[in-house]
Amino acid sequence: MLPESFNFMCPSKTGSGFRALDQLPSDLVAINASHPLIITDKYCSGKYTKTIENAFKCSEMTLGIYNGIKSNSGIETVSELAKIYNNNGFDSIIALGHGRIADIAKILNIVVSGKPDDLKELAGVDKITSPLKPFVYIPVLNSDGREATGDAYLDDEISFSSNFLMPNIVCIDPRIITEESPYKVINSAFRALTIASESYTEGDNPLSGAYEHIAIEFVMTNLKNVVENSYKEKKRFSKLNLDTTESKERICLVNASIMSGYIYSNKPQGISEKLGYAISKKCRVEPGIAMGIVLPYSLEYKANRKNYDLEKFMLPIAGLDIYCSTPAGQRFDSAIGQIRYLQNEFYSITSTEVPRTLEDAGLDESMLSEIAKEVACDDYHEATCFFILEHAFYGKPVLP
Amino acid sequence: MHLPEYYEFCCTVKTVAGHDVLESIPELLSKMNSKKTMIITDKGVELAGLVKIVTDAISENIEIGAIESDVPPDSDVRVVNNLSKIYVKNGCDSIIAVGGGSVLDTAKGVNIIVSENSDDLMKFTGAGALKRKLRPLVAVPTTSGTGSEVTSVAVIADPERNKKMAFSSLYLLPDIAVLDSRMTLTLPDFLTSQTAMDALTHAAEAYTCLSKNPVSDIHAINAIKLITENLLNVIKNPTDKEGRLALATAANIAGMSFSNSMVGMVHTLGHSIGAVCHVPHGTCMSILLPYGLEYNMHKTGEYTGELLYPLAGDKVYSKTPKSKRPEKAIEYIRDLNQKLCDATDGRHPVCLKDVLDRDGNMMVPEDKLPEIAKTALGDGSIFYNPEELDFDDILKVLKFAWSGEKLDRSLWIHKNSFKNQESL
Amino acid sequence: MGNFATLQPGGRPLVRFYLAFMLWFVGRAIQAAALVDPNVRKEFNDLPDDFSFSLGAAFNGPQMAIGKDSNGKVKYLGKNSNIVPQVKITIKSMEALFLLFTFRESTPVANSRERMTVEGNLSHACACVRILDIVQVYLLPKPIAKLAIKRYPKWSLKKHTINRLLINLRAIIGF
Ligand SMILES: [Fe+2]
Repeated sequence: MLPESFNFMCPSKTGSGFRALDQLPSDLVAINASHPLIITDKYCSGKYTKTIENAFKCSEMTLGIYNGIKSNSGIETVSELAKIYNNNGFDSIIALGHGRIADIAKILNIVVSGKPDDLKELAGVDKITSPLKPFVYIPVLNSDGREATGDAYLDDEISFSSNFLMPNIVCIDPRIITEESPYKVINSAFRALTIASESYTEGDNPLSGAYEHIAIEFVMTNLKNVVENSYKEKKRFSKLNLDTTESKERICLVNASIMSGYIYSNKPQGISEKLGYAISKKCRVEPGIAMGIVLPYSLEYKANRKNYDLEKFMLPIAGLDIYCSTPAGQRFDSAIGQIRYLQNEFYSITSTEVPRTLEDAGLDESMLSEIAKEVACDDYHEATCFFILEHAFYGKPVLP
Repeated sequence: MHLPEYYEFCCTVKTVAGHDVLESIPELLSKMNSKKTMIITDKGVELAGLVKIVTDAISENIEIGAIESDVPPDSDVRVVNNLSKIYVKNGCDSIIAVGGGSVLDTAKGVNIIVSENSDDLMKFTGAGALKRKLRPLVAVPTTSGTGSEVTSVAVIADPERNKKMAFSSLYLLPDIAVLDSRMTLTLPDFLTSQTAMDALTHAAEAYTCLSKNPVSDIHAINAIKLITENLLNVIKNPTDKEGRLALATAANIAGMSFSNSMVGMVHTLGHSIGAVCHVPHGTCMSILLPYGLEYNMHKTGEYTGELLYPLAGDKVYSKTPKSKRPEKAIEYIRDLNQKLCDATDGRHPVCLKDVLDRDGNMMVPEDKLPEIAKTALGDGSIFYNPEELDFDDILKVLKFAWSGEKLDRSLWIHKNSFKNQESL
Repeated sequence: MGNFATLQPGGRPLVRFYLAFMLWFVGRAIQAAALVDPNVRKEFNDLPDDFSFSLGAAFNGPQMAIGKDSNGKVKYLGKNSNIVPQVKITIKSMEALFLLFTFRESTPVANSRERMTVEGNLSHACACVRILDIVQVYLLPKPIAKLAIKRYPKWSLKKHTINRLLINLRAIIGF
């Protein structure tokens, strides 16, 4: 049944697949931009500048490229970029890469769309009230989706959240989605899976349903192949990116991450997501991996406690045919089983680099109560959080 | 899931849905810095008392600068110009469009004029003519079918130049679509069934035509599911609020689906029957949908087969062997049409010869079919249909749809390559 | 400011030359087909007098235009025609036009991937696309043409041989 009220919005246009970047010049013109500044880091600029340049050939556009973003770039970088942007008369921003690159690009957009001293005033949630400059995001394989959200972090004190920060265009091109380390790929994919699954199992919002479904299905059907391929011995021409199946699988994962970003911008954070962030601060595990560990247990808890009918969860997890041929009572358990199966596989494929449980992750058991206290909220009391964490620690299913 | 080599998806509209969500309009408008709004609607909507529900929901924060209800059934540039003057004169800074397709098209036209500060709409036709965001526009649909609250096109007639101006731009999308169950509660049964079948057709065509993509696919499946689970109930219990909201939502997501993946021959033929014989759009859709799916089956049977899940449910889907699913899905659509026909005392016809006007005259005489076929060759949606269609093909399909007989696919066996079908 | 640089992507002279040649050839082939092929002639007859349409790439890419003169004669108008075409088919980038003319993406596929825009009267545009389809069948060998259109037509032997030869010849020598 539908909820009493529900809503959804995604202001971004997604273009994904073969020659996506070639469409970018005309898409930019359509949003009144013709002189973009590309923001990226040394790694991406070294690897992808030529591809981007080729896509803009014949467009008669001049591009600026700044490749000085580092993981600790902050307000000085924003100021430097603002000077470059204004002195050269740029009219739009393209972020190429992941994480910090998108944060800085979004904050630059706030600065160049208004007065420089706006930053402090506009910090917080929904303080920006009008559209900013055209902003394009070009993801890479380890983009975790946060880049496509309306969130931007400057430092521990100042962060921004507004739909106006979401990209106008997300351009997913196979030439940019090249291989990455399996650990990073799993981290991004599990983050996407967690956000999408928690949203999918929380009420029945048909407006966001498509994004959730796709993110879940794409991760479940492609992640294992992408991870396995990165261990395969490379063929002679692999650099040319000729294998379209492999490239398609990677594209699917990036689609999942980007969709999770869209979902994230419309929903409050789920419990696994919160726990994942808290856990990653206490031990050497990335947030996405930690979310993935917690996810099956928190979903089982949800299925038991609220008497939710979570049988439908198997549809995106296993696909239409398997969903329909599985008897109704077995669907939820079987779906959770498939997530666990993936996790156990990764544990062995990556030679234990990707943990199955919080114990594997090297978390100290004494930390569980601290994390539970930190994350506790109205819906999930401290005891509940602890309960979920404890099960995730030992890898012990939550029985009805 | 089918992932095309390349796809695009975009719907910038914020959709707000529920049983009393009209009340959130003032807050949403304030967030867009609007203070004084103009309500654009038509006489029918006003007479049904729907405008009052909207105005009652608008609180003190937002002033209503004007309520204009003289939108004709086909949007007209003179009305657009006239309303624009009122908008400016009354100092409005946003629009709430309450109604169906023509009200929204009119509102989109007004919004172009007042935002671009121009008096000539003609300048903004064609691709890429609009380059920046327009003023705030809120759409409140009063039927559950067209999905025009999430489409980026508008058609406005210019009777003096004897032209129809077509506008297409992502900037035409409303900022907000408000789906409130109260807006469709009083929609008569036959309109409910027609418009719902229009939405179902949007979804089915989006799922089977050339521009299908993951997002449009899942939206389509979900829309069809909502419709098949609720439509007959709503026809029997018109005041079923839950069901009404489900249908409105279905129309909305089906609209997002087809506006990103486009529609094919069902719309090609339907638009033409509408143009030549003035049959309501939804009626054409419900009659033609099975034929469109049948005609394309050798190319898209696999996709049609997958529609059996939302049409008939998981049990029927898993029981039916893969090769039988396409036909079974089409059977379910025919069956749904027949049930709707029975439930509305024949006001939901299942073949073209049964379509009657108010006086009981046949609206689509058989001798009009060639003219319809000719018109269809000039409809843009023909590009997106998976299989080629020439004049003879269209005429043959129309003849079957006229009599209500199932399409005899063997007539095309030599023309179309049926290879894919054999492997099914 | 060692982190900042300006890029001037420039053009693709060879691609442009190839596309300009292909457009020239297709344009002249349409002019020839209007004389030789009854279906093409009929499509043109149904279009209004002084009708014209153009096909080309965005950002000042190569273009070609075809038009009917006041006597209803179909003429290839070249690339720099001063007439504003009534139907304008624009491929969003030269790269996409290159995909189209190297037969890696067919017209329906390019359209479904949103790589082209059509401006002007849509029903006239439909006729233009049908004309282009027929001409492609004349110009391309069957295996390639089959990829370029939705349904390969069943034509008589005469159409496949004599008409094909005539259209190709006329396109090259230009009358
Ligand atoms: Fe429709």
